Amino acid sequence: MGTTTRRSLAAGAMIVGASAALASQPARAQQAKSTWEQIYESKTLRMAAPIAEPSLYKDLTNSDKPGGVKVGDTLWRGWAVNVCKELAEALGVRLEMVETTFGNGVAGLQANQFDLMFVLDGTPKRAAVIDFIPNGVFLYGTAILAKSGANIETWKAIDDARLQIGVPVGTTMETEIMRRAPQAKLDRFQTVNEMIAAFQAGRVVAISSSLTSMVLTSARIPNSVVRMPDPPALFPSTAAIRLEKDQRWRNFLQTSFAYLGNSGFVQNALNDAYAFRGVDISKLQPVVTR
Amino acid sequence: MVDQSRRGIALGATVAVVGAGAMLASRKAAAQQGKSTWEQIHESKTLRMAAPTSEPFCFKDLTNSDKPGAVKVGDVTWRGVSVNICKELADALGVQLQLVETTYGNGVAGLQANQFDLMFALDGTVKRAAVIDFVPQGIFMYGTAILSKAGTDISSWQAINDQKLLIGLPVGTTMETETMKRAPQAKLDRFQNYNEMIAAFQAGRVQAISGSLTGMTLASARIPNSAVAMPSPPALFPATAAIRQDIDPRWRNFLTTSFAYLANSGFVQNALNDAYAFRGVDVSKLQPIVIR
Repeated sequence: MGTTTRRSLAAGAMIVGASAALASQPARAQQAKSTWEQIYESKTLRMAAPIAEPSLYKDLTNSDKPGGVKVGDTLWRGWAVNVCKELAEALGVRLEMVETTFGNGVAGLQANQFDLMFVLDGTPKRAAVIDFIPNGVFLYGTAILAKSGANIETWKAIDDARLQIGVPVGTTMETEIMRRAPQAKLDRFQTVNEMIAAFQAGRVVAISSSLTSMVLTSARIPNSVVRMPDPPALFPSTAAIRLEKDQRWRNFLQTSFAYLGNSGFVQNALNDAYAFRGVDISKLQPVVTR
Repeated sequence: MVDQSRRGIALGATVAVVGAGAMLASRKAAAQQGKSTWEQIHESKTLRMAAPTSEPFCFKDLTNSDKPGAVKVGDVTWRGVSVNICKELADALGVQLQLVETTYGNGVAGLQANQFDLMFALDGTVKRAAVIDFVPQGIFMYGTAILSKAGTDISSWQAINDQKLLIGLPVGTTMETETMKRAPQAKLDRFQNYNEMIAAFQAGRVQAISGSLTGMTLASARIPNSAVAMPSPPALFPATAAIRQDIDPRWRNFLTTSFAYLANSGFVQNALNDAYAFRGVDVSKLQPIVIR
């Protein structure tokens, strides 16, 4: 970095007077490499790695079950990891995992700590400062988990039954249920784990979160059932990237996500992640790709 | 900067002297100067479409017939849904259409070498997306179709699986993977090319064959008492176009908007019907194309 600065100062010195300031500007712009250029020059694709099953997690048992991706000494699993591995191989670069949290997603992209983060919703507020791939790798929706036998097929049935539902506070699920089943009684929880504990203790009749998360929870709770009630509210599960003029990284991801979604790659990767946690995948609704 | 534009002017003079044949050379020079596809199309007043022969997308009409859907480029009458779309695009841009004969195998290299500005019907795989770009909006969705004798139940993958149907398919294709996944009990007979596969069906050596919906629809017109279906649930891919990787997004954006309009307005369906009707397909019996 020091050398580059010195070099651009030298170039500026060759030009006389006021125009020197103008000339140093493009020199500085050349130093601001786009994500696409950075990936090729460093031969590295840096993926944000906030732990969230089934998209991304560490396999501490180092098992050889399908879906594992070894990066350095760590064995990673999850559909987002499988997608990134596929991308890195197509680009001919190596995959690097940057451990972080969803809360650091926006700042981390802006500070050039990683090149993409999956599972961050593209809200207008975020889209003002970072960018999002317009098509998802699949569509995800609000799901309900209840005791087997409960009628959670439709929002209408849930509304009519005035179901008591636990929800994580401040989430899309909370807003969705309030709009689609206004007569349901909501019990708000600070964390997903508290919510699950309340269901297991029988303090709420049902709980709500994303389909993927509820499917994993269901595998740990006997006699439970998971549904995306009709009509489903679907959002693209996509990736956040830096906001930049060079569109090549964005375009590459847009084409790739469509292909991986349509070809069944994402479904297979998701099935591997579920199967690793003992979910009976033959009973699952398939993911919605479009 | 000054140097470069002078070089450009010199090249322009050469073109004026040598004439139309130098068009390709001037396009290459423009690319070397870092001109985007959008700038090249407007400066050369030419839209260059890759023309790999593939019905119903792009093919020559050697009979020069005046049936609907013909597009005359130079002395050649071209037909097909991609040709009709490109003619519409060229007219909208106020430029002339040029067809560059090539093969799908040359698609990636041809775009990179600036031989043409777009190629239809090349799937946007992750590997290809690393070196060329794709229009995110398809002109329609295409899927795996099955052709069999009229009366055979091929309406769902479940029915095909239950009958353990003997299906001929082209080796190494999406159709092979799809059929294996969706009807695992079907018996597969793999063929090196389409024509061998069709011959095997006509000789009764396989009960059904598999290909893209468009390809099977055309084959069906030549085989009496045959029926074509996309078994449900269908696996659908967008039929779109490959373009050069450009930092200037104008060509990509123009195509995204145009493809959506041409698909939604029925232009694509009409063009496809023209291409089918030209080969004697009864278009009144076809399933309409899926737009999204």
